[in-house]
Amino acid sequence: MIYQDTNISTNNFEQCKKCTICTVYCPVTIVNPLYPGPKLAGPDGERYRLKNARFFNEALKYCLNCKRCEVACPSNVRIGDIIQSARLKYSKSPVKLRDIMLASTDVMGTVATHMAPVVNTSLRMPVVKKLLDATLAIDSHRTFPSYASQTFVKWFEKEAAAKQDSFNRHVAYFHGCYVNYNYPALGRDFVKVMNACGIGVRLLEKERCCGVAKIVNRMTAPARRDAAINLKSIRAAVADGMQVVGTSSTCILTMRDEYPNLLGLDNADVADCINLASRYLFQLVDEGRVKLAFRPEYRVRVAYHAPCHMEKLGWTIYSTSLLRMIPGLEFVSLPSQCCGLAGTYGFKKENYNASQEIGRQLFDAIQRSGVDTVATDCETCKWQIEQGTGITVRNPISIIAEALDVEKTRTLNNI
Amino acid sequence: MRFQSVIIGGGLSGLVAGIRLAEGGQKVAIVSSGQSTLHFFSGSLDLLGSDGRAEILCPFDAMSSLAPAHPYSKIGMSRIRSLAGEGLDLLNRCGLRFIGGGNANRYHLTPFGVMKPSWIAMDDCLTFDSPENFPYKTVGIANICGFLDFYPQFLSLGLEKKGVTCLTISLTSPQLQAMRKSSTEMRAPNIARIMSAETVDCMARTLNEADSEIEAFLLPAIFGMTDTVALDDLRAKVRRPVFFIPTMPTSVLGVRSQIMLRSCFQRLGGTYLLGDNVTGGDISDGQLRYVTTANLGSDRLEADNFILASGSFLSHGIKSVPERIYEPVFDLDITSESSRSRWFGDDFYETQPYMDFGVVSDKDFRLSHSGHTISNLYGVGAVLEGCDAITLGCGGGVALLTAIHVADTILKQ
Amino acid sequence: MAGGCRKYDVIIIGGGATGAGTARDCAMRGLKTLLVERLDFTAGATGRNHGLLHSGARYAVTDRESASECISENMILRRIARHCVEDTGGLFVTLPDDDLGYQATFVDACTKAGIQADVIDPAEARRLEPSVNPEIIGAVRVPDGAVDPFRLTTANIVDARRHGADIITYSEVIGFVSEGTRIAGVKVRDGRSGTVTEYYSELTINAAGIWGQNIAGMAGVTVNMFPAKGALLIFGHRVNNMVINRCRKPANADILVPGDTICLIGTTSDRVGFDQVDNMTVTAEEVDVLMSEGVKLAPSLATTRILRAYAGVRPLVAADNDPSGRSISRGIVCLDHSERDGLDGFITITGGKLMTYRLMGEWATDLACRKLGVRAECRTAVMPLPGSEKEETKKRRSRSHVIDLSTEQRAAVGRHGTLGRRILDNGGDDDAVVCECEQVSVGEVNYAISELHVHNLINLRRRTRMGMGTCQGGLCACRAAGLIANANKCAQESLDDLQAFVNERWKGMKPVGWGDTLEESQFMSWLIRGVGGLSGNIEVKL
Repeated sequence: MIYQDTNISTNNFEQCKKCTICTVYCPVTIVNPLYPGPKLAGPDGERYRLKNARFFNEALKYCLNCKRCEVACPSNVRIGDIIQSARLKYSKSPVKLRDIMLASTDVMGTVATHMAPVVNTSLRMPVVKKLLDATLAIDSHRTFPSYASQTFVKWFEKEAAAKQDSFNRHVAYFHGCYVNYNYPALGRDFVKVMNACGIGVRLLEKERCCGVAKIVNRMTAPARRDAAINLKSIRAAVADGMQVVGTSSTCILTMRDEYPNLLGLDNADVADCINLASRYLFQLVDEGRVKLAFRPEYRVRVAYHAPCHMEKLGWTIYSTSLLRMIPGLEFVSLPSQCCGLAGTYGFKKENYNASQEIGRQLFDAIQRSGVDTVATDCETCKWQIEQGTGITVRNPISIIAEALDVEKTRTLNNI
Repeated sequence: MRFQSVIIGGGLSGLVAGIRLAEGGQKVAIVSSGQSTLHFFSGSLDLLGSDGRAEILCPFDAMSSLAPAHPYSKIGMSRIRSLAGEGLDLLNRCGLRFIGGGNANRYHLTPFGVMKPSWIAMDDCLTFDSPENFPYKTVGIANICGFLDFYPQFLSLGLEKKGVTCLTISLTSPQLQAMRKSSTEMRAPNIARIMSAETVDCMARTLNEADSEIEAFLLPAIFGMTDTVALDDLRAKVRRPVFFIPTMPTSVLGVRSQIMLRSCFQRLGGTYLLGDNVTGGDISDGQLRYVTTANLGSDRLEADNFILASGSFLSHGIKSVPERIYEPVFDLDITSESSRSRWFGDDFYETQPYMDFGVVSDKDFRLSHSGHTISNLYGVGAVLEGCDAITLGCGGGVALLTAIHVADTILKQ
Repeated sequence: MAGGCRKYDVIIIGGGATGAGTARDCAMRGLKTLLVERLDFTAGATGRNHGLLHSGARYAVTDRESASECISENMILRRIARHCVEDTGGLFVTLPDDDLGYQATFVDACTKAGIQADVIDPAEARRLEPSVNPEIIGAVRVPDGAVDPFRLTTANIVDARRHGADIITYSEVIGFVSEGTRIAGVKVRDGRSGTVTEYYSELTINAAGIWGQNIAGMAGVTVNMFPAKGALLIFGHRVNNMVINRCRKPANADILVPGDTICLIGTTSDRVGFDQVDNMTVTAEEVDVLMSEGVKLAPSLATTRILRAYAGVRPLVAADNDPSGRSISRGIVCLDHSERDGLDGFITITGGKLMTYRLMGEWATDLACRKLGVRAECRTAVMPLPGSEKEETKKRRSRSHVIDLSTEQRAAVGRHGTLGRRILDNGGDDDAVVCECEQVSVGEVNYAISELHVHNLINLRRRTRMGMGTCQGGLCACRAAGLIANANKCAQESLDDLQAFVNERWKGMKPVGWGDTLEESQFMSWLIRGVGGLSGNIEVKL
């Protein structure tokens, strides 16, 4: 028997007082009776796994890694981390081809963007969906986000990169796979807002997928390789005096918290410089380093959906405060709850029903609210809410970009 | 980030203080380290249930004999009665539907069938003026199949001692049966979360068909976690009175109270930072200038006034190591015993000295550090010294009254 | 239960491991056997020790005979009690402050006692057991392991019963039936009803451990016991997976044993008065000694939650000619009182230790058989205990089903061995979890109530681990009290039992009441006293 593999837990599961509050806030337990719940899967199970690895239960795969249990825990137990690290450490079941494909967002994206029209059309064809459902167990109700014909990076290099040198202040942009392959418009909005504020945008020397999809699909080695490349680039950017800013709350959480907690990569030296775009912009305005001017005629009614990882970061307040700066924006509160998609989770056939069931209450609340637009900092929440409600979902940065009076803002910031 | 008041702790005392301040027009932020002990709330809120030796009937009359360090003594008897009334109004403004609130305590049934005094109770609960005066001769005690946190046998025991006839009924529905496939999740809030109109219908049918001798039904409190829809629906459909007995935690009545108070606070414009921890602050010239939190990093929370509503040991408002007991955020002055052998009573059911430990405060609940009062930092609720909430039965009252008292002090400035 | 007939070949007094092992042996050899226990099985020293499956190495230098007994019983238990023991292996480590020269003496003594002791490189020891103090300068590997005394005793009881023995708990021997110079039976008071019943036998075996001194006194003979208190601490999870011992002369807090989901450090050793043996409390000083020594073995103990502290009394026997207790043996003492004191029909089996319980049973039963003129071989060393039988070669369940076993089902099989399989087959309601820390299901609770002499929550804890986990019995105790009330049809008794149980848990948490344990205690107070309104006033005495 090998002892050292099984008897050390780096997680703080012993702080658990067995109060069971976490189970109240788990979105999965009530829709999937096969999931043992965060308390059992997390701190309770960990004691048993430390006793013997055979107590690991494959049902932990039903955890959607929303970390709402951690946010709810009064004793700061990192329940979600305990569950995910147990899956990484103990699971013996082979990683499915389907999961590898879903998780390899960057490889898939590189291939798909080259033949975007073909891929997009075929991914929407019922027969292809059926085929994916039957062969790979990717649920046929799901529609893949379309791939852009030109990646964000291509656009940036061609259209924007040259201009950035003219600014004295710079920020490094972690665009993520979604912006690069599926939705470059968000990246363009980010560049537009930053430039209007007098801040130049640079890309990282080398950017790989943040790795969240690989981590939850137990592809630890490639995740660690990507993470190491990202950290190296982040360190270089920080050494150049830049913060590293992203428009996806999940990418940011992954690089800041999951790298050390789940992949064992120390990032303490740069963790505080990994920031979310809406927080970064709020801080600039709050500290008086940037001023924003908005178009007076701009009117919109917006509800903000707090993505799970945004709640875990504790940064919802930044996005809502930022949106509330827009004079013509009517802000509507939503109860904070999981949308159910959780990245690749909801694409899997076995999770589709649970995923929709989890999101149902949120969809109802959004439809009742009568808003024009839902704002959120997470791309997968966007897909889920758009599919579930038919209402457009946008990143706060895109709403700011739309509302911004660029010329006036430039003047205010002495450009 | 600047607020007029920042509250550390988002349980009953923190939320009540926050609501009161927000109602007074203040911009308020609450930082809550996870969900609060309000989740264990039984639905019955006590003001003063015991003098430490015996149950007391009239809490207001008995307060004058409390020790000077007890928060009620600091508030002063002249203010207590009106504060209590205002507290009850505040809770009901948030939609909590408390009943009672007179001069005398009323009794409710605990999950073990014990008749226990409390001052007010949510209208889910059955209350009565004396253990000798239970309002029904025959009750039907109904439980959900497979639900282990409700004990009809102990309830019957308590009621039969008072001459009440108890009949037991078993309830279920296809939806609840499906839930039983999970071996661990048949817990009160999870049942409440999946409670649908069909399940309520199904249960109402069973109850309506039950023995005609039954005058009222007692059910576990598993209805209405975020609102009272399921609860009202069941009561409307059942032709006899239905009352709910708190279950062992996590309590649906407690979760509902937490959710309703929080949403009331947010509707008033309050900022509620959940899952964040205050890591420290800057105290200079006798004032707390700002606090920092784990999630906000370099962004400080600045405010004119701060309220410490961080609770007792279980909520980590007070911490202990073998050598000492301390307040973890600011290392505030605290009452405790230095030798840990004096922290405890031998018997679990006797007075436990550690429950009396808490932060030292002046008569306005201002807290102090190294003997110096911090002029804009107040303490409310269970973090305060001198209130053994279990022995005296005063936890809810202390949270409610100190929160309103301190909020009013701040608003008067 | 004892049926209509109250006449036996042997009556055994004491439901510890020794009494249970003796009852099993007697019953297997065809003697009509009754076991009488004052409280519950394992309520004395059996349930209050390290749970160390000694290789004997600890005694090799100081007590060769005990060491040899240990290693031979160690090998037997691995065969007959597979579900009660765990082959963790053990280390004897030398710390920088210790004399490394002792290691050679130690290894030599082990070898002479027949115990395999391999000197290994300290780096290898750290690889095998990462929790061990990284500063160790020497390490020896020995075949130590962990044994669960509760399971072991229960399995012996179940097997004794299978072979026709009668077992009664909560029944105290308050006197003897004498016929001239012969003990002809015992007077037993039922702990619940208070009624006194006489049971008759050819032979009475005193296996009452430390309490055996009083039993002997009642019979009119003298057995001088030497009560030595040993305190231990239980930690919240397994810090170590191998037993870690200190390679030096036995002293305070030099053994760290992994046991089921937890690990424990011990012990201290202090003589106590006889008046204290029924009410052991652990002092703050003892906790401090255990902690300060314990962290030298495994530094991470310093940051590990301590669940509780407890103490047991070793039933050491003072030599006959030395009532002062100076010359103490840890060896087995089997006294034929007819030879020694001229009292017929009475045997005392005492001394020894958990490891040698079976051998003690064998000696006592050998003597009993000789006196009763019964010729039967002892088979306890070869016949596996119930639960430890060889697994059926044909898998009863499809492979996929086995993979789908939930944590509580796996835990039940771990606790009850092959007998645990029957809990799995019920499904449905039985799967609902009562104790989440220790993964005890409704099915397991009901099995224990119906098959394992469970009348109250303390019994249930000893049979299933319910309430032994992180929270030390909060919500699980309430749920289980409800289940026991359903089975016993006496709600008052169960409610009183619940209140007493919580108090018993508190007694062990109080000495380590700081940090997480204090917070947990406050939570429990809120639940039981606050929400539940229970005041500890007990109406029915158990």
